[in-house]
Amino acid sequence: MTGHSGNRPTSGGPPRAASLMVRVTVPPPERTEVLGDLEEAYRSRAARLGRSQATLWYWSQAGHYLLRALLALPLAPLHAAFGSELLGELWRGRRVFRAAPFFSAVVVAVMALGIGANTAMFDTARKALLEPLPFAEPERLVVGRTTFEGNLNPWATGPDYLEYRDRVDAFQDLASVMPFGQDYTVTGGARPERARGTAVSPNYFHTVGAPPVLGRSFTEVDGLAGAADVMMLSHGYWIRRFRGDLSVVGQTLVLDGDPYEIVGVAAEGFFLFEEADFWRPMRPDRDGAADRRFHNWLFVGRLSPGIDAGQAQAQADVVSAQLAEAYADFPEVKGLLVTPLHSMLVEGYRNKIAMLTLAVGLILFIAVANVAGMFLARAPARRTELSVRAALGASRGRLISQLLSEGLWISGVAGLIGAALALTLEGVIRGLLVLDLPGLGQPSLSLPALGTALTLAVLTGLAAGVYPALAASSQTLESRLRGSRGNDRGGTRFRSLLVSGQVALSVMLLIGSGLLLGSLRQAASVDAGFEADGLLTAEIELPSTRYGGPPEVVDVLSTLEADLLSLPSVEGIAMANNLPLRDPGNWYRVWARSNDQPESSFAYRTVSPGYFETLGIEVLAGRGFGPADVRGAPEVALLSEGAARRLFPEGNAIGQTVVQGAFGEERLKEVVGIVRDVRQSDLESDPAFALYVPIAQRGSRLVRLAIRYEGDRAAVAAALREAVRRLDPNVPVAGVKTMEDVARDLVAGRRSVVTALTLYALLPLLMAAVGLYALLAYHVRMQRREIGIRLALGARPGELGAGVLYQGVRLGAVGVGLGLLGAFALSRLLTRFLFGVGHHDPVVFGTVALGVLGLTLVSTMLPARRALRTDLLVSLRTET
Amino acid sequence: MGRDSLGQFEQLVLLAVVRLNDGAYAVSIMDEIEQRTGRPTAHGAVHVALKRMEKKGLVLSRLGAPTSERGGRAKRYYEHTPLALEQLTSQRDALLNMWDGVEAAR
Repeated sequence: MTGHSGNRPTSGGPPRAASLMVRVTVPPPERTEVLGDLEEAYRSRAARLGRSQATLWYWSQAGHYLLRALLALPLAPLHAAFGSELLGELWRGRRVFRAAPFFSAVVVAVMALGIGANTAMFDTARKALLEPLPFAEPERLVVGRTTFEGNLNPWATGPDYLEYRDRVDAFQDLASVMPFGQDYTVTGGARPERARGTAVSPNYFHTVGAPPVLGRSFTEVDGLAGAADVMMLSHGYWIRRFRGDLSVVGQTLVLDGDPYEIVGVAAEGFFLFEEADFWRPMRPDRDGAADRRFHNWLFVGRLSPGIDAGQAQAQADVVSAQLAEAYADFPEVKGLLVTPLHSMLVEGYRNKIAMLTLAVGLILFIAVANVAGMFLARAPARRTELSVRAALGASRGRLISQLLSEGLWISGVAGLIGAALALTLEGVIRGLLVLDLPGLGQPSLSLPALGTALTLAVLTGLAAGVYPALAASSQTLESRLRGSRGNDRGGTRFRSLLVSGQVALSVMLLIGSGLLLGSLRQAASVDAGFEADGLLTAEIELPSTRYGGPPEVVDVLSTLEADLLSLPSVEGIAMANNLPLRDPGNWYRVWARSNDQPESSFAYRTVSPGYFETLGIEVLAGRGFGPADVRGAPEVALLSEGAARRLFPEGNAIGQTVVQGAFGEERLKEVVGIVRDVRQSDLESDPAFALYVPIAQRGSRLVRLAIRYEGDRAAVAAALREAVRRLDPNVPVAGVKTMEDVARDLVAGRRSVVTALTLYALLPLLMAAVGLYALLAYHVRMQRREIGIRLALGARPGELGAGVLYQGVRLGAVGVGLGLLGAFALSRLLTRFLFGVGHHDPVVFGTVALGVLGLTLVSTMLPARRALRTDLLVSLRTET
Repeated sequence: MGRDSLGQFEQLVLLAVVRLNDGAYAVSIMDEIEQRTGRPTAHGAVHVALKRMEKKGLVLSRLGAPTSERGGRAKRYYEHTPLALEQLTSQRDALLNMWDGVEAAR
């Protein structure tokens, strides 16, 4: 989840949405003391019973206040004053809460969630898809991306940029940006650190229409080869590193050893494509900006007034054709796709937004169906009342309006709670979408969102009331009066379908989350091939300005290693270009020189001699690396066991020569040992083939450290920083984290999906359980007279109870069966997300089926027991 | 019950105010009632009862100092009036009189 969760109470305070509800329902003069009381009690509860207990308590208090406010609404005198019968009907509708308190509480809760989720969804979609981008005249902004044979590639070369910029008139301005950041070591301040920067053409900020808040943006001169180095800071980095110092313009920062003058600070929140701490001007003499081979640039254009994206596209096509003619290395199939900036930014979200909209819409639909079901259940009981009132002259419209008003009360309360919840849910939804757009800001309750909640509340209220209202009023007066003892077949069928449908839906969803949960457990418990516990990792980059060649790098590293090993809490040190799970790294082609096995992709690891012992990777054959494997000595390598099997199926790997292809050269290495397979890039892919070479023979400047430590992790991290500082105060230590955290982060995304899906599955299940209970209770009530007579005739209570049980369990079983079928058909869709669990895993299917059946049994028990206790006399008297 | 008589819940709240002496405010009253009767009460119920009784002249209130655990908000303390004590006593006497001699029937 991203950082925008709206619900996280700030500094341990009560839930925001709930206190908002209290604020709205308590009159202003009393607000302060009430909110204060509640917050104090919340905190003391949170300290004693835990945060979730306290939150639950707070919500119940807020609900109490809401109910109180509703019951005190001055509608009654209003209606008396106007003498309007309709208002009276509306007002009487509130009695629904008293008549069916438990069921209405559940339905209000679900409906509030439904309205809240739909409101939040609508508002998110509105902000993402409809709100203009926070730039000047954003509708004139377009993006240019390279295509090959019509497929997006999507980046272009620096020379392409100049051609399109100068030849396409439709662009008033065309800017270019490297759409991925690069990490730099920043020095020249208090302490060295790593920061992310990217290169942009000098006209970038002008083109986008985002002027700097401080200083200036880049000029054409800044973009000439050999110009003085300048940079612009992002607003966030300015605040972070310089605490918003206004005199920052003109100061110098050192990036990877080169001094840059700060010329300006970008607007607050300015962000497009990629978060950056700073920008450097694109220049022909660096970043491969003049190289026709490097496709590293994305174009942002501002259309000339009166020109649309289609016209720009047509011009760009002409230029592409000209370029293909003029340059041998510009393929004929290469083109430039011009898209409005906004639609390009959201194109990845459209489908997800549609899916999620469907999902939250379904919740609301289920809630509405349940309210309708509840009214149907109560309809027969009230038929006599309705008929009598009809006989006394109440119009059919009045009767309908009474039922509708009950629906409106339920949905109205739900709408109020839902509007408050929407704020929280918007954060959740953004997290699920991984929404990252310019100008989105923090989640906030917007006016359109409140309007949506209100509209949804009214619509759902009417929808829930309308079917029962029509059903109740469609019969003739006579049949209604006679029908006091009758059965309501249509309603029962509707509600049976509802119950079975909900059970089926929750079975499907629960199986989905069960499969994902199984995958999560498998992924978390997988054998990574090394000892991940008790490892602290970090990275350092040795600047080329001070450490010219590999000998110096090796010297520094061995000094650092010795320094750290002298600490009592450090048991071992591993140094490498990449660490497993943490840094996937690059892949190289490797093949055996002696036989004709095909080449394969290999993870390439330059490692220190202590690497295998420190990480706990077993050397299975031959030897590991030793102090003798240095530059100048014969080049040696170790293979992972899978790789050895692949390259040398006869099992004679040791002593053989392998060839590594890299950047057009081929390096020969003698295999001296075989080590265990290790999962290199994540926990779920099979272990990759790996080629290990000694760091002393092929060192890199960017070095990752893994320290096997004992005791306090913070102390070890501090000792590491201190050791590096002693070595060179200009080298920052970055990315300090334990390997356990690395592994946990790898499965974190999976975990949040499982949580969301499970919660989502439990909603319909809860409603199905309550609905089943209500349905059977209603059956029992309807059959009270029959039951009474049968008891009088000597039927055993046990049989009657079993009959009720049977009815309930049958509905549950039908739902479970349908759900199993649905899950069987649909779980294939999940295959891509599953790991170590088949998509028809019998354990998951079985557990869910039994669990849900058990639950339906439980919610059937109560009405069944009530049937047994039926009192003969009462049941004969009953006229419902 | 007439205009002057206290509802059952009001009696509970009022007795809590009396018991708590100087330290009576909604949260401590809720705690006191829950501890003595084993019944949890809603803040809203206590709050509304206090407001009503304040109007009837049964309790007086004053604002305390704001504290940080209340999010910087002041609390309102309540104390009973002589009228409250009088009503509580008369209702207790009435009940006790009615109970007199009924013990055996339980």
